[in-house]
Amino acid sequence: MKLSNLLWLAILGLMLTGLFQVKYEVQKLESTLAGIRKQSREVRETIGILNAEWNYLNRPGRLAQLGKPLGLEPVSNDQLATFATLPERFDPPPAGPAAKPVEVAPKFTPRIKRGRARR
Amino acid sequence: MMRRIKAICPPFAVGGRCRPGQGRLEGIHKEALDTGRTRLVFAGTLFLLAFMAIGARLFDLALVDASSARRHADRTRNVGPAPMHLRADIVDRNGAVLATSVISYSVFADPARVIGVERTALGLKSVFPDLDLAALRNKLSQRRRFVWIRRRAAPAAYQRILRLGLAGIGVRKEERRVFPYGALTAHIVGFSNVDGRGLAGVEQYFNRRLSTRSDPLRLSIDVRAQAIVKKALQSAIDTFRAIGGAGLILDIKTGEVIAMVSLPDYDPHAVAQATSKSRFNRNTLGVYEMGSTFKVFNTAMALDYGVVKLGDKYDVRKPIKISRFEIRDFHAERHPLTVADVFVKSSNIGSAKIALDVGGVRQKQFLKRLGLLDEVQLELAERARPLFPREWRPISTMTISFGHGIAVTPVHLASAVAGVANNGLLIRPTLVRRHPDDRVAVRRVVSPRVSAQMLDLMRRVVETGTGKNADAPGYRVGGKTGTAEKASRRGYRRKRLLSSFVAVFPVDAPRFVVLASLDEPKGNKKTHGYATGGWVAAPIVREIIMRAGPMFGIQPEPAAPNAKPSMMVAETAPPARAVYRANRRRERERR
Repeated sequence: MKLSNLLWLAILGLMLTGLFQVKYEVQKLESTLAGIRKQSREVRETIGILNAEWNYLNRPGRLAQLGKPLGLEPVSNDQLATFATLPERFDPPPAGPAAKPVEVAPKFTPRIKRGRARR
Repeated sequence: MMRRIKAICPPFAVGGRCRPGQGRLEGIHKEALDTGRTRLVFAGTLFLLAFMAIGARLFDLALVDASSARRHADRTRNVGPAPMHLRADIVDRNGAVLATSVISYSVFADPARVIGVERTALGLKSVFPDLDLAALRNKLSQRRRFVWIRRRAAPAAYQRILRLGLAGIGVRKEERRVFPYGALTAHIVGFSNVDGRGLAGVEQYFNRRLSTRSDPLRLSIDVRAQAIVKKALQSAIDTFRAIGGAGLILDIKTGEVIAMVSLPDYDPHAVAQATSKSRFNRNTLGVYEMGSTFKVFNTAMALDYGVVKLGDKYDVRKPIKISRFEIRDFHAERHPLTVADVFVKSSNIGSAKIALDVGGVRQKQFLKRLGLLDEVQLELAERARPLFPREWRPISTMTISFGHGIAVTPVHLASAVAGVANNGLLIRPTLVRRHPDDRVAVRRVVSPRVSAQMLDLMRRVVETGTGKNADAPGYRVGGKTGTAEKASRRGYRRKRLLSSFVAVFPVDAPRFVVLASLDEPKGNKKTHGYATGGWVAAPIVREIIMRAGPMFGIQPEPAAPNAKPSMMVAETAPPARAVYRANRRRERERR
């Protein structure tokens, strides 16, 4: 009889401690979660502002201005090509001392104006 | 059973003591014991029921109704304030942010709680150096409980204010709408007020969607194309001293508007300072008599109804006189013209005669099918209805054949031309991104054969006709010029033109319609004094195609040899004061 009472008492004690622990654990986790949420909110707000600024800095007019001293120009349609428009590939000429490389296409010269470096 | 009971003392025995060895319970003792047992059983049952109820509820919460319990828990537990709901972003087809909401911090003061006006004023001044000290002192010593110090400050200023720790100074979070591309997309995106309510453009049309959903709204616009159109248009406006201009690029296959520019434009961050003229979106709100560009529809109509064939001849030698009006050609022709030449040389007389052969009823039906008689369809708050005669008389039929006596928006025109060019299938234009495999409703407007014929004719306009200035080297561009005399209070003005050019490119596999129009351009030496569509608007289209073509990866074709200089054609038509008045009224309404 006494033994069973003791057993119950022990179970009760264990459960109390367990409950106590769980409750405090939950409180701790909740405060951590609140902290993380706050942080993520702030980061998201910052990302929003930075994104707006990034787009503001990427205005096409501004980029064109920045590209000028670098000698950059808008793409022209004679710079476009597909595989179909490439000249046909020749087999290399038979090995011999006189064999010179065959020029299959006019030399590619990039359409870049050499900009004078400012300052 | 009996033995066990013997060992138990009656709980409520009156005056009796429980003595061991007492054998039997009798009389009053037995009665008391029975009462006790009954009560015990009763109480036990009660507790059992109560615990069962709790158990059942626990079971219910944990397993059956878990989601609503979790929601309730989320609501009540203390994890900081819910994130501020921000209005959704508006982005272009590539994700560039056209409008976004950022959190800003507004600083206020509660003068009653301020300790030391001078100290506080100096502290605020150190954060906002542009504030006036005297005004600040005045504000802080007022009797009110609330004064704004600075609305919408930067987050850095907010941090510094917090660090100062001034009594009676508080900070409130506010939402602020930012348009990174500013005026470039102002007429499309529109703007919203302080409370985050859309008041113009897409912001107004999609107000509900933007304020209830958080995912960005993706438009069909491409800011790069937008910049190209704006630059080309602006330089033409400067060169020809025009009062304004409109330009747009429309994807023929999907109906998406890639770029849409109306000049002058305004800064959406300073709407209050914008004039009503700059707020006016010419592309969807302005209705104009588009002039000869309408001959695209007139010729397509006659061919589609089978009334004429390309080789049929029309006598265009004499002007048509009807009541007090006279329909003339800019260059009188000495020979009859074929239907093809009427289009390529832009003869008004020929077009009017063709339209008469088709008949007014069928003409009206055809224009209706092209959507030219209904309100412009686009996801903007600013939408205009076309103006056309209520009574469709023969004179209307004739003038409408070359784009006078009917006023439509540039979007109307571009969309209808796209329909003719898209193998004869009209697609509703849109400002919202469509996916290439999205199914869209189409309406047949002309047969594929007529569509091909029209593309061929439009190519000839650029090769040998009035639109040579639109010929972009490397690309096969087709199009039609238009030069309309603007309607004014006193009828039509010779010197006030609306010069436009509508192009389809590449004509062999149509991808885009490009439309440019200038309002009241003035000719210069380079154009020999002409301010017609072929001289002032066609070069804009060429410029746009030259720059946007490579951007969209359109392959060039072998260059065609250059041809002779172009011939200009102008038109006259009966007065339509209504057009002038309607546009003025719309401008006023936008104020």
